[in-house]
Amino acid sequence: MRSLIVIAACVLAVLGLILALPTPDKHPETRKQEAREFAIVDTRIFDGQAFHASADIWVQDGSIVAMGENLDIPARVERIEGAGDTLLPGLIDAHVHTFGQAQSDALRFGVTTLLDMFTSPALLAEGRRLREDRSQSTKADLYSAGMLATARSGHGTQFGVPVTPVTAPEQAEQWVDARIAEGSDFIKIVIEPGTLWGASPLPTLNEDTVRALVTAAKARGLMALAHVSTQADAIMAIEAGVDGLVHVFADAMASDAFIELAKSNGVFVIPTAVVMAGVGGQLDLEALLAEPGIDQRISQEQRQSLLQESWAKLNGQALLDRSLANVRAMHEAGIVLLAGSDAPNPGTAHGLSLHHELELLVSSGVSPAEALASATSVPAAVFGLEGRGCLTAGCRADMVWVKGNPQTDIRTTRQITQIWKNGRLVDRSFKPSAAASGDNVATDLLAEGVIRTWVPADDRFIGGQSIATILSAENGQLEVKGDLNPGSPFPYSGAIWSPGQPFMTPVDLSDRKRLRIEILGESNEWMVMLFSGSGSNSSVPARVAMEKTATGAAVEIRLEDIQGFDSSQLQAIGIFAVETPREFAFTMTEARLE
Amino acid sequence: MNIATRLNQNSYWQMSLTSWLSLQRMPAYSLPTLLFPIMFYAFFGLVMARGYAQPMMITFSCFGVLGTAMFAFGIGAATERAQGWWLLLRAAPMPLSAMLTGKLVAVMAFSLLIILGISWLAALFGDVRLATLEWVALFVVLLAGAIPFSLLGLALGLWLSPNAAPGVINLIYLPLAFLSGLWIPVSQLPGPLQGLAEWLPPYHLAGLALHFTGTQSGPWVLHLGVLLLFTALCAGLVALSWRRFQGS
Repeated sequence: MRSLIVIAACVLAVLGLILALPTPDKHPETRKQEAREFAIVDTRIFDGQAFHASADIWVQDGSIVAMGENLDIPARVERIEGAGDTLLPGLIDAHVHTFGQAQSDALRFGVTTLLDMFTSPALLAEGRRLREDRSQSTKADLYSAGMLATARSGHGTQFGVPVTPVTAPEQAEQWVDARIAEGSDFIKIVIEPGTLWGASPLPTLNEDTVRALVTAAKARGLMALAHVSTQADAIMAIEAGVDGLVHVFADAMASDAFIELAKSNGVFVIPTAVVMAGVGGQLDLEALLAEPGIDQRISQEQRQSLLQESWAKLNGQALLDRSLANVRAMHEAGIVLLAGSDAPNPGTAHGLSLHHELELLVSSGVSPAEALASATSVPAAVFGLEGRGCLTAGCRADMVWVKGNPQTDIRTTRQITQIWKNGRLVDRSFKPSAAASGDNVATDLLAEGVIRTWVPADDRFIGGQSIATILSAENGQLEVKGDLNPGSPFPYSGAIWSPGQPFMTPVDLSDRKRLRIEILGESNEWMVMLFSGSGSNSSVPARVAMEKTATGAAVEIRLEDIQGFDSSQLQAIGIFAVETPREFAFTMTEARLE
Repeated sequence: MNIATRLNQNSYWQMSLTSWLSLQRMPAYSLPTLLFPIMFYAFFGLVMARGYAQPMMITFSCFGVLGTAMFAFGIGAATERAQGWWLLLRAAPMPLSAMLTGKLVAVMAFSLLIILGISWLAALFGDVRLATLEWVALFVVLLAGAIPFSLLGLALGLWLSPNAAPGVINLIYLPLAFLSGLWIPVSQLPGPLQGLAEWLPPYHLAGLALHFTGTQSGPWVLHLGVLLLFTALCAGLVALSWRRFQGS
């Protein structure tokens, strides 16, 4: 009898432990979100391929249950009437670079999926996790090439994101394996001699290396895409076997030979006409920013990249004309086109530039339905994105509702009234996020673990020709060398450190009072630049000249004395050679933020 | 006659109690068996792969059940058979099925403790929250899932010598767990391996549990069908092995 009691007690205890396992909060808001089920009835629907004049769509738990005319929808389901509006699949931007708040900036403009063509590999793991998370509705989903393949000091190395160059065909396999290990979804190869842009020539990958990279990528089941700016390079890339080109070339009109080659190889093209217009200064940015309601939606970063001065020195009108003519020729030849913006390059911004791209595609003879398909079902098919870019049964409930009819006026895609991501309404107003807490930011910026977060930085970012390299970062000493060359209004070259993640994300360091920097080097002009603000580069950096010493230079800055610097939103600290053009080298021996 | 006396005279009840008792008296075997999958989950599900606490809670529980069932029955049957214990039991006035039931109850009790341990870890350190019904579904599905793997273990235990059993069973159950995505989600396995999962029963058991806990909806009818088929197959194997054992 006693053993029976013991057993009964054990069974009860186990049952109790099972029933005591925690359950979700019964907060009304979250409960409502979980049971999200609704239908939109009698609305115009573009399902990714074709328009339906008046159809119904039924959404349950982030997926589309059914779409069609006169659906039999149960009475329990909340119904939304849709007269006069058009429902589109969440848009896919096939060419972006994900920095800062790109994913939320894009989403507020109806872009629910981003195909990124180069960003920091550090973002990839989180991107992969979030795109599977059907409960989040604040960020567009990310698929990315991660790091790009380029030559040493080639295009793509100027942005402050570390890039491992490919210097020989034999390195291709190892390089691609490293990308796969980092989580890249496809491989992006840069073929950019720089000549088209009126800048000085750039080192670029040769044909053998491109071919080796393409072969390595394909052998591992990854697509290989190429950045090209000239027809010759486009032909070289296609002959090397790439799956697609991520820009239209604009050095020449597309030849019959190119068209034939692209068609017979089934190559797709992401024209990014909008970035051609942007860097050539051919967009009426004031008008774009004057659209009603845009002020509440646009972040400082978006405004900044849109208005950013272009680095290109060329005839913008001719560039755009040739780009659009080539888009027209490729489209007429039946080459598959994907809509992409190349945001955040000058003249573009995440999200809204995809709408500008659609307009440019339509102006090049692409029909509105084809243009919309190039931003929905076509990229989904090309990149194998299941359930995206469509509004049929089983698709994800990523949807954009616009006022008007894009079939007759493609510009109505900008008149967004609602966005759903994973079946949940997206908050379309921009709210600047408070700066992250700086409690965990180190005091000694050259301490082990911190010293490696310094990156080389130079004025190529603003169109200059200076070069900086970090030689070593060990034992509390940061060795930097470089060339300070004329070529931009304010030449600079050196190293930069950012407390935030991703790079340049503001961090609240208002409890720090002093910055002490000491370097060993020649007696010359050195400068500390302090970046702060809530958008990337949103304010001009504060500059403090360093004082020359017997062995180099040093400075101690009382942060509160610096005009135009806000330590509660500190983005980065940079140490630069400035003024006299020269070859330079310095060793930073002290950098303390106390 | 009160319940206690009646139970005391029931050989199924007695064997269940004694199987449990024997496990309880061999902490050197029981504790590692219990703690191994829980520790494994703590390392991989909580420390290494943050953000996957919930799916990994289920697949590692499944891994725990799989191991307990196959070891208790596989190695247990092989050694006890060799020791002559089973011959003795057969001579006793008690159906052999009582012994098997007793073992199964012990396996389920162990599995229950493993799932409970992993679930509480997941809840406390991985912020996993499930509805009460989903928690119950997790336990019901995985405990029922112990049956086919117990049968598989038994079939192996009847064939293998006690020396061979641990090696062979490890050789079967570790790859089975890995390829079924119990440690790493199938989608993260190298491409060629991904296709193998749907041919493996643990994948379907995990799929069933993932589905009914609302973690990842899947074709549960297919999962269930495969598991039933697998159970029948294992039962057939046991019958074959049993005939061989009785002949020996």
